[in-house]
Parts: sequence; structure tokens; C-alpha cells
Amino acid sequence: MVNLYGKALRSFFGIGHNVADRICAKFSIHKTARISQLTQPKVTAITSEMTKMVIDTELKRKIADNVIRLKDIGTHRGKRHALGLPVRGQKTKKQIVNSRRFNRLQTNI
Amino acid sequence: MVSPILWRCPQMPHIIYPFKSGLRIHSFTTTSPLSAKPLKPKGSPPSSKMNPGKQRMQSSKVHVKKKPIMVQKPAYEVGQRKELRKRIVLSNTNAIPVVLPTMTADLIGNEDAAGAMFALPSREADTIVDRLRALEAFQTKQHWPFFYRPCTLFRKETVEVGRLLERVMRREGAGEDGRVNERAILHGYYGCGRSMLLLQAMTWALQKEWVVIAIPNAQDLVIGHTEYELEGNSHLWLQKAYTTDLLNRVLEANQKTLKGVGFPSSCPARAMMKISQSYRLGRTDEVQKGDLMKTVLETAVLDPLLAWDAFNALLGELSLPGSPPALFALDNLNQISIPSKYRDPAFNAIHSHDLALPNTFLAYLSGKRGFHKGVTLAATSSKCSRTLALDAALEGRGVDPYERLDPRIGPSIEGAQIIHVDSLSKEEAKALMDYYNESGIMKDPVDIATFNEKYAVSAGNPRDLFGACLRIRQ
Repeated sequence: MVNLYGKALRSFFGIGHNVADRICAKFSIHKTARISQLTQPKVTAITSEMTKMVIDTELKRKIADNVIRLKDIGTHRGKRHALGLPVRGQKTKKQIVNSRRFNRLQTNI
Repeated sequence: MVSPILWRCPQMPHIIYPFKSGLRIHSFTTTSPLSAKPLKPKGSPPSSKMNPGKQRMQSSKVHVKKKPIMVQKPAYEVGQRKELRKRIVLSNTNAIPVVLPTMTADLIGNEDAAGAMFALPSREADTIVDRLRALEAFQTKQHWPFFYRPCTLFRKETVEVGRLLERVMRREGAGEDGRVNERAILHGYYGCGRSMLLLQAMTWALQKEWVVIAIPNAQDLVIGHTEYELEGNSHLWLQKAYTTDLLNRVLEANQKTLKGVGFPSSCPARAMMKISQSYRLGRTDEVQKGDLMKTVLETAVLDPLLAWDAFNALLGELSLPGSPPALFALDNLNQISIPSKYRDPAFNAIHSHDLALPNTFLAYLSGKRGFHKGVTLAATSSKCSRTLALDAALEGRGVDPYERLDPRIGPSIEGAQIIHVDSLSKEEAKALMDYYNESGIMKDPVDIATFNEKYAVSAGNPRDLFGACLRIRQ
């Protein structure tokens, strides 16, 4: 009883409303469809479609690689990522909580 | 020479003061320990006025707070809430029964009956109410649970709707073989009784043993909650799951007609129940000439893949000479005049007219397709986002080139008669209020002052009139 649009597709990192909408439209699946209601060819088609997409672990690794590349070529952005500080010129006097949380070289994949 | 101590340096070394560092003061007392005051007992301070004994007694009292008994509601089954939401209650044994004449087929187009209340036929042997229920002609918003049995008001618009049926019947009675198709749209303000007029038309059609096909709420077709798929030949989007439901309802409501019961064997309508040509159902199945229509529909109801073809077969048979008359009704026409929530593979919104079922209905409404003898009836809705193109078409306005209106809407209802459903006349309102009074809903007697007040407050709008009459009791 899992809703394809609401639960199944959007449980992947990198698939939100927009992408899920487009996947559903591509295979003519309505939004309240449950996975159990889908025919086998449609399930196979969605699976093969999703293998082509960069999502989940692969996407997270891609993002991490981009940051590491910046660091390696010695850019300011790379350095700021490495220090866990804001990257886009924000002030650092007060709160930079999100920068501390997200700006790091090694992400938890 | 520079001094070894940098006086202005912040990291200046500590300057040691010889006197201060060596000074140690010991706290010292000459009072003997025995002469000292006894230590204060631990516990409440002496300033507390409470008796220590009493306090102990009180503290020993244990207040056990009773936990409220939590009764966990059982979880709803799948579809249970929807069932509760859509449940139609048609009778209330607490209400006072009102004796009213029955709404029979003799009243079709009868002007003298206008302005009186009639009960829907619901005797033991009669299954009209059950069949109407199967067609989902009753709606939850229509206040049925307040009354002992379902009754409706015969209005002057009812006469107009009856005229449509009458014209078809007259042609049928005369035995002429010409095609006759009546097409109309019921249009008016909110709560003016358009759905109720559809219900009345369906009641008559069922009594006259017509084939009634009804789409109770066009919104279900366009909000993207049912399956859809593209059909290659016609470039229309089929909704097979919905079509199966529709056929199910048609089958349940028209059992008698589809069986051919009630028709003499010489009547050509009886022959209709047998298929006049072979049709293809789905990819593999085929129905042969001479099969019963009922059997075809029963097969199609079980398999959604066959539903659309079976529906087309039914419509095809109804367009042949000798077929029984048909009523094709749709409520909430506005909903199929705006883009649907469905998307095509290129992510463009699918126009409602590209969906097969609305397309078929509009073909009948605009006269592109037609029954051999039949009435196509649509009702607009006020609970819909703005449909400027439809409003313009209903008013008969020409399309202004500077207005960006949907060019497909106008032709889709072209040629259909527009029945303006107005507010109640004074006689109709009086009949309705008398009925409310007799049913025990309205406390006050209906005298001139009360009547005028309620009629003025509601401006003759049936929905508001009901609210105004009910409110006095609270």
C-alpha cells in the first residue's frame, strides 16, 4: 500500500516533487497510484529510468567530489568548505550554524 | 637603557609584592565548642507556621491521580472513511412523515403540477430510489437525512426538463423512425437546484425504462485520481478504471431495461438487447452479433481492459433504430472545461477535452454524436475555479480577440439549449416551507410574516431557504 508518487519515488535523495511528477507523467501514472496497482512493465520501466538518473548515494558522492575538487585546486570556496565556514561571503560574527553543519569535505554518505 | 619590564606590554610579567604575598590570616575564635549554639535542625525553617506533625500526616497522604481511561479508536479500514464521507442517508424515522403524491411519469411536462412537492417513488416493489442511488444521483449536500422519505419540489424548470423528455417520447409514441436528440445545460446560481433537476430527469427516465448513463461528478474525471492511458488511434486518453465503475453503475441501474423486461416481444426495443453487429472488446475478445448487451456489460465490468470498448458498444447500439431511448447526464460541467490534472509524457497538462469520457459526453452535448432517441443533460457547478470561456459560451457572448479564452470550450456546447435555473417563485417557496413545517424541521407556523422574512432572507434560493428555515430551531 505504498503510494508511488508520495512515498516511493520521493524517498530517494535527489527526487523531489518536480522530478517525481515528471517520472509519473512520463509513464502515465496518476498521482494516487499505489505500487501494488502498477503493472509489471511499468515497474520495470520506472526502475530502468531510475538507474539512468544520478540519485541517492551516487548524487551525494558527486556533491562531495565537487567540494573536494574546489579544495584541491586551492579556491577560496574550497578553503571555506574545509574550515566549515560560510562560502558565499556571509559574515561570521554571529550565527553560522548551517555552515558548520554542511560545509565539510567529507560528507556522511 | 631600556627597562627590563615592558610597562605597556599586555603580557607583562607579574610584579611580586613582598608584603602581600607573605600575609596569611587564619580565622580564629576563642569561644569553646560547648558554649556554642546548637546546630539548627534540618527541615522546615522555624518561621514556618505549619505543625510538623500535621505536615507529616499530610505528606504521607499519597494522592493517586486517576489516569483517564484511554480508549484507542480502532484504525479505519482502507476505504472506510471515504465510505462514511459519501454515505447517503435517505430516510429519518424521527422525522414526521408527510403524505405527498408520488412523482410519476405522468407528470412529465405537466405545467399544472409546478409549485408542489412530490415524493420519489419508493414503494416496496419499486426500485427507483435504489436505482437512483446506484447512479449516485443523490448527493450528501442535499439534506436528505432530515426527512422521512425523499421528496422533491416540482418547479417550473422541472417542467422545462420534462419537455425535453416529452419531445423524445412523443416521437417514440408516434412510431416515427427519425432520430431525435435533445440537448440541454442547466445553468444558474449556487444552490439553485441544478443537481436536483438532474435527479428528477433521471427519476422519470428510469420510470419510463430508458437507459440512463450518469456521470455524477465530472470532477472525478479530471483531478488525476484514476488510471489513464493513451489510445493510439483516437489520440484520446482512456480512463479504464473509471469507465468500469461507470458501466457497473449503468448495469445496476438499468437491469430491467437491459434484460428487455417490460417490453412486448414485438417491440423493437427488445431486439436492442441483442447486439446487432459484432464488436471487438480489448485485444482478443470479441462479441458476436446476437449476444445480449447485458452479458457484454457484465463481462466488461470484470475486466477494465474491456470497459472502454464495451461502453462504446453500448453507445453504438443506442444510436441504432429500434433502440430504447437514453438519458446521458453529467453533473459539474465546469470541471471538464478547464485543463485536467493529468500530464502527458512531455509533461504538458492534458486538456479535459482530450480525455475520452468527457470528449464523448461533449460530442453528444454538441450534437456531433447522437442517440437514436435520447436526451443529453448537463449541469454546471458553482464549486469550481473560474471558467471564463464556459461562462462566455453560456451567455452566448462572442469571443473577444483580446481575451485569452480557451477556443475549444465554445464549440463543445454549441447548439445545446441552456435552461436557466432561477430562484424559487413564491408559490414554490411556500410549498417547500409547508413541507419543512410538516416534517418538523421548521418550528414556526408558516404565516405571512414568517414566509416573507424567510423568502427575503434567502432571496428565493433553495439552499439558503433551507438554512433560514432550519436556523430558527437552534
